[in-house]
Amino acid sequence: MIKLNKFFPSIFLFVLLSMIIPETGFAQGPKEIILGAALPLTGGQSREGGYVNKAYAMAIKEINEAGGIMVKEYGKRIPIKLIIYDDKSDNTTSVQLYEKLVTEDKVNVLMGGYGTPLITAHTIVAEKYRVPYVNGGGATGAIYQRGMKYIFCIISSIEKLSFTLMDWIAIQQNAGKVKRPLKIALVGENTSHGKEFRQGVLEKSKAAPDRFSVVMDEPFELNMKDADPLLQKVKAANADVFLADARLADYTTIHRRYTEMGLYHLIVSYGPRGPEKAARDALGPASDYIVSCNWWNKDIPTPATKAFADKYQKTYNEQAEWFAATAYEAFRVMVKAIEDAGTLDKPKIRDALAKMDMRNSLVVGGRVWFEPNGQINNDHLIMQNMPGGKVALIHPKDVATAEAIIPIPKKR
Amino acid sequence: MSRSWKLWVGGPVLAFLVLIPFLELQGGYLQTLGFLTFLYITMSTAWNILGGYAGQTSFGHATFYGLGAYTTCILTLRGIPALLTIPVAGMIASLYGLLWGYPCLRLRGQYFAIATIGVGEATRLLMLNLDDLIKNNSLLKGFLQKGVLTGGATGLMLPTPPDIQAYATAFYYGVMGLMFFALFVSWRVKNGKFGLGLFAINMDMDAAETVGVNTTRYKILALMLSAFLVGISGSIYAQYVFYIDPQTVFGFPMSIAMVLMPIIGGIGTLIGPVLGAVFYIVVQDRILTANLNLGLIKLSLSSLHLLVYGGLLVLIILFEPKGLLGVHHRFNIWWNKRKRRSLAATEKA
Repeated sequence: MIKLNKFFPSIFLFVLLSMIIPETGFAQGPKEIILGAALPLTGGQSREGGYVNKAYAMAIKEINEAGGIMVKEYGKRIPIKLIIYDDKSDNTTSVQLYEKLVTEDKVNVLMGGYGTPLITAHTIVAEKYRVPYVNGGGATGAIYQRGMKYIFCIISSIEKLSFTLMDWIAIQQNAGKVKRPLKIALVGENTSHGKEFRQGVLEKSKAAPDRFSVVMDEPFELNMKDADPLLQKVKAANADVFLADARLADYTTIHRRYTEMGLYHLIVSYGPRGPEKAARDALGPASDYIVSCNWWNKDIPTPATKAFADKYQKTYNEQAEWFAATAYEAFRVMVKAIEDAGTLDKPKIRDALAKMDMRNSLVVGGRVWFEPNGQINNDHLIMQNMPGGKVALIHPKDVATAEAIIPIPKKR
Repeated sequence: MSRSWKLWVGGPVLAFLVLIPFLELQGGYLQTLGFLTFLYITMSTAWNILGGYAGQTSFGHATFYGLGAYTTCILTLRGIPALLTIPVAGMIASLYGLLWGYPCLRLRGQYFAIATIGVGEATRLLMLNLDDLIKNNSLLKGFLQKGVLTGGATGLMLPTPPDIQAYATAFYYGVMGLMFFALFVSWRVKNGKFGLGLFAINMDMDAAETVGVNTTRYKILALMLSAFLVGISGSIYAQYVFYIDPQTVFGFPMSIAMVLMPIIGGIGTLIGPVLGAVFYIVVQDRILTANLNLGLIKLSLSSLHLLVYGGLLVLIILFEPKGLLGVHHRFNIWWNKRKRRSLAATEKA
């Protein structure tokens, strides 16, 4: 008969090994870190969603070529995988897809899509499951005023955008380039974007009645077919400055008709729109001297911007627009947060995002940090279209490449 | 199906649905899918009362859904407890149904359908511009809160509770209850005098009038009842996602979904709208994330669900107007015939 006690050491060793091996396997960490996003690849926001998609693809390629993200807990670099779904620019679908990303695909972190309504809707999912979420495409301040802890945005608010524009106009007044007070004709698309822009301009005007007086304030519906009724009102308002907030298609429609009607203002701005190549090609010299205010431009004189713009151009054979730049940067911010946290533990990644201080960034000022509400509060960039399809950075001073030409020359 | 069979199948299915939040299947995604399915079954059943029983095809039911959602958001943001706003949302939707139903339901067939499209679109535009319209009106200005009533294109956001997960689970059971309530109402209507009147209107309105059915009254009541249930659905949706905007809740795609589901499942029946809603959600969910890999080209099939519904609609209209239920009945007939034939063959042998 076999004596069992002879086998005890072997059994003990076996049990010990079986306990250790899974532990060792766990310490090796996951094969990949999974990020997830639902983007508007079809539907109304597909153009912008396409830029974000390209930027994410570029960022992921770069990171994986470097071996992945360094995660201290596992003592090695782990490759990343990004799951992207098409939300068809629809809120309900977007929410459903983010739920799917978190619960079914078990993503480690979430990346944002594009557009205020979509981002507003799916941030709820990120907060519900406490999954860190970073976006570079939802600037409306109201999204971040809901006390959420896991939501971060690397572009500052639309309201601040309009404040920056108004402050810059005040600088032009101080320099004696334009008179004071200035009469403003204000129009904006009937979206949260346009609304926040108009609110910002109105607020600044109320605060400085000696400088500004809004003589016309009018919303307009998206995808306008005929700009005449709106521009007739602008003409009748007899203002000095024309400020609008419009998307690319509406900016082109309105400004084409504006030029045909022979309207003239000392300063013309379409908020964040102006330098886009598609619009400039369509409008020709009529788009010269338009002032725009947004979050990024390829001519920001920093190595980070140059490297990104060159790489994007090389990869996609097209000029990088701000949608792509901020999405790419949002991705890098998330990667840095995972590295800073040194773990895939979601609350710890969230804490790393809250403490984020990223230098040499693409954003204006070169630094990414977040206010307690999760949104960055950096400056915006002011640009002016110049003849020959060129764009000059005119504000803030540290990135300015030229002096603003204000008032706009009459004969163009 | 015999009673015992119904119990054997229905019991475990019901138990499974009740247990979904605890089972954490698919990481909890099934709970979300369940919530949406219950919500869509409710709306599909509600639409069926007017469109299926009374035969009045409405393409404007998103109006009620949106009104329910907005009523809840507006009242909740003014300090009224969210749960109390649910019946109010239903009532507001119902009254709105009365308001436009009275003139519109005098129209017949396709004219009524066209009118409902107009009402739906007009309501969406009204919600988009209401704040700007009343901003300068001294009488209505009081309805604004910090300059906002409907929020225009921005929509409205509700404050989020500290534990959203527990809140979502509570709403899962809430909407499940609502679904059973809607099915009960639909069953009562179908089997009562009111339902008989609606079916009579559906078959021949003039004949119904001659036998004493007050057709206008019946149609308006059906519309109000339907609107009430859809309004409550909108209210629950708003509380589940904490954010609404006119495009999402008043959008035409929502109205189309409410028409499609009963037609796919079996219009004018009790179970048809349920089958249609389940089919609608499952197809949408599966196609939403599917890709077709053709070697060099990778096609996203996310927008293909519309093609599936469209194709199915054509097939249903051409070959099986009773939808999936009709297909089921045909199968049953074929199966019984086959059974009888084989029995006869056995007896012969």
